[in-house]
Amino acid sequence: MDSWRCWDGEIVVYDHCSGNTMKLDIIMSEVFRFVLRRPATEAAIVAHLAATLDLAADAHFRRIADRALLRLHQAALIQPLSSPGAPPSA
Amino acid sequence: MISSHEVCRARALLPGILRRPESAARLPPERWDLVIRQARQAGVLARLCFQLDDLGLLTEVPERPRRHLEAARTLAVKHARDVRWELSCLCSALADRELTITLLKGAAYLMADLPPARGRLFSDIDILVPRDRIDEVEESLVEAGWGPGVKDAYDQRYYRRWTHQIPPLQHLRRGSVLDVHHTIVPPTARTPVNAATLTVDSLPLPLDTRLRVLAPADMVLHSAVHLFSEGEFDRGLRDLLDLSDLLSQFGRRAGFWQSLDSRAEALGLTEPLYLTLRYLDRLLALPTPAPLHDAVRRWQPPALSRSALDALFDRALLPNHDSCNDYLSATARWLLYVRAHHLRMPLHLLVPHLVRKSFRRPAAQENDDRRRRRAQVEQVLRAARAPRPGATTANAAQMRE
Amino acid sequence: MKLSAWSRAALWERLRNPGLVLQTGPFTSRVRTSIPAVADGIFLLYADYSAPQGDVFADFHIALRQPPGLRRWFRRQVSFYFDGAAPFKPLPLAQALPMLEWGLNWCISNHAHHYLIIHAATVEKGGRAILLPGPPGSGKSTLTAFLVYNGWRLLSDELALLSLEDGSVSPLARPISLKNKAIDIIGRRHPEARMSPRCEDTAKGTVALLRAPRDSVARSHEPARPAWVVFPQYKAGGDGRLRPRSKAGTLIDIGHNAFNYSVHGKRGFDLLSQTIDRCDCYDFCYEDLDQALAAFDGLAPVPALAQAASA
Repeated sequence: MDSWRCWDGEIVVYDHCSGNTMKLDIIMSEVFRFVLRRPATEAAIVAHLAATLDLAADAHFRRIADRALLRLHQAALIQPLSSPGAPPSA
Repeated sequence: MISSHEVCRARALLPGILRRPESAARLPPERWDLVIRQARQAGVLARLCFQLDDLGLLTEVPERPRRHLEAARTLAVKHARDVRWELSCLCSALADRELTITLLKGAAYLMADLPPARGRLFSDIDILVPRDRIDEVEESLVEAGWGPGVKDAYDQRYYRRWTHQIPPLQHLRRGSVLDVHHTIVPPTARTPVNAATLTVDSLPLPLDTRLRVLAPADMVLHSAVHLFSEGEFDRGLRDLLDLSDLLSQFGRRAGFWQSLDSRAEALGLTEPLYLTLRYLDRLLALPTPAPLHDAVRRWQPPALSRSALDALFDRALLPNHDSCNDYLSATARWLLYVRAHHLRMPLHLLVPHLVRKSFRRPAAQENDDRRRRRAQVEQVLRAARAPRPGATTANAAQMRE
Repeated sequence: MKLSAWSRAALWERLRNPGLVLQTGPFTSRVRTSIPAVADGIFLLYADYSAPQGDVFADFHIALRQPPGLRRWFRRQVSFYFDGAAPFKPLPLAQALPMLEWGLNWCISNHAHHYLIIHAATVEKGGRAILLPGPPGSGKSTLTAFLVYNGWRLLSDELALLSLEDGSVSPLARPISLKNKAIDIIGRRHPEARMSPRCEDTAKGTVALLRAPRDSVARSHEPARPAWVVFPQYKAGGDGRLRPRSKAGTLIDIGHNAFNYSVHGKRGFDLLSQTIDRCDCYDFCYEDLDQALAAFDGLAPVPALAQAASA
């Protein structure tokens, strides 16, 4: 489990594999905290984000959410669970 | 003025401590002053820290030298972490190519969990790939962010023509350096080594079958060739200790000594192996194992050659430090550098090459410069890294000495 | 034995051979040189420091020498040597004294990995320290010089040494490097402060070294607890207000300003997180030094008891 800290809603994370330290933006922070509670599907993540940030879950928003998921995945902070269609986990 | 007796004591100090780390517990602070400096120069400071800690003696070291030992260990742990990450990135970069990647030297020791990895300061990562695939490997690596580590056109040609690797590649963002080999001795060596022979007998890593390491005898022979035929001794003592570790580890396996003997004969690498055994004995008081006594008698050069080699290697293998050098040490290192190049280049090309090098920098300085450049790259990246939208990153893992 | 007890001649002899051992905070350095300007500089700037004698363990063996060859006589240069090897290119001989300081900083930032080393000034009052991270040009050295001659203790103008064991910051209390206009500003405000001669045309402009206050040197074995992280920026129109800044952003920014954050891995992350947990973090834009002093004094007011006693 990577190390992370949260101050005033902003999260910094230390990645054990790469040695990198990252500050997550508000969207990535929300995704990370949501998935930390329990694994979730992409659809559930997008719905949660839209509700929390009070934004419409339109195509543009979905692209932003996808990008956040990709960057968290690239930083090895979340990963898809092994079975196809399974939700990502932190 | 330092007496010759003092010089002898100083030269014997570090090898003595490495042979018997328990003797370090009785050292006064002023001797520690010299041990730390010699060990740092030789690249074995972290190794010494691990050795003392294993024996429960680290707490007995006086506080000031102990801090240096622990600092070196912290740095070595970081290096190991960086190498693992770097290999992970390398595998991703070459994932589509489906080829055998054999790790060499430090990376191999680390991933195969062998003793020479402990306390090691890694500089470059060395890998071996099939010669007929080296162009596509280079292409994939360049796509993944590696660029030329040497920019001089002469040096580029030199590597491709006269050595067993392509010019070193440096990752543009991380600053790490990758040496991609296609065999373990220069193609122009008197007894070239067919890399396919090595890869056939290589062993997959248990936790990651994408990567392989050389079979034990080949690993020893490669380490021996690297130390005694490449003319670079800034890590000479460390490399000799690696060989001591490998022989000690593998020597416990049934049939190892026989396989080492026959493999050295088959690959034409008896000379580096002979030199390994000789200098393990002379410098570290590690006698040649009994199963190799006959082989050593077969491989032994004439007495005059032995004396000449001793005069050179006895000096070059010690740390390149004022307390260990005498008035012949620089000459000895230079002659061995010439010897290494002579082993791969004909004389009519060797001389202009050496002249060119003497107006630039010797190989050891180039390694130092490469390390400094890496450190400077890291610093520039640190200073220039601006927050990216979405995430900011501090101190991306890069290898640094 | 303090260096002030030595004669100039004895110091000169010792520097030539076998080298002068200087204690600066937690580090001992054996310094060798035959360059008169360096000897003069050490005599002036390091008078209050301890110079142990005899065979001692030295953390760093350094030398400042003219490199061999033509440059001994023509457009003379100086090289810095660390245990016999030169890690940098030579500089003009006139820059030998600043080179000593830069070299000592290099030794620490490259080898002292028993600390997390941040490129920051550090000052202390009442046991609590302010870390002032900032790249060159932020004015932190000038600010530090002014603060330490006005009631704050100097820990360092350049390298904050955070202990991995307990998170305290260890002092160096070495001379402060002043650049360009700062030399005149501090010289006018504090004529009692001793400074080395100026060096022109360095990579940082004109440089002079300010001797550390005697009290700071005397207390250079006393660590302090970090209580504030302040990112200073000197600029016209600066209002001298301490503006709270993001702690998450501060961690990233300190990581950028650290020499060996990546060396320590998770331990470094934990130490910085802990430090930031305990500190108030600010941006600070100021246009004059008195404004800055007032703001910082406001952070660490004189305790009521001491005030009553002095009334």
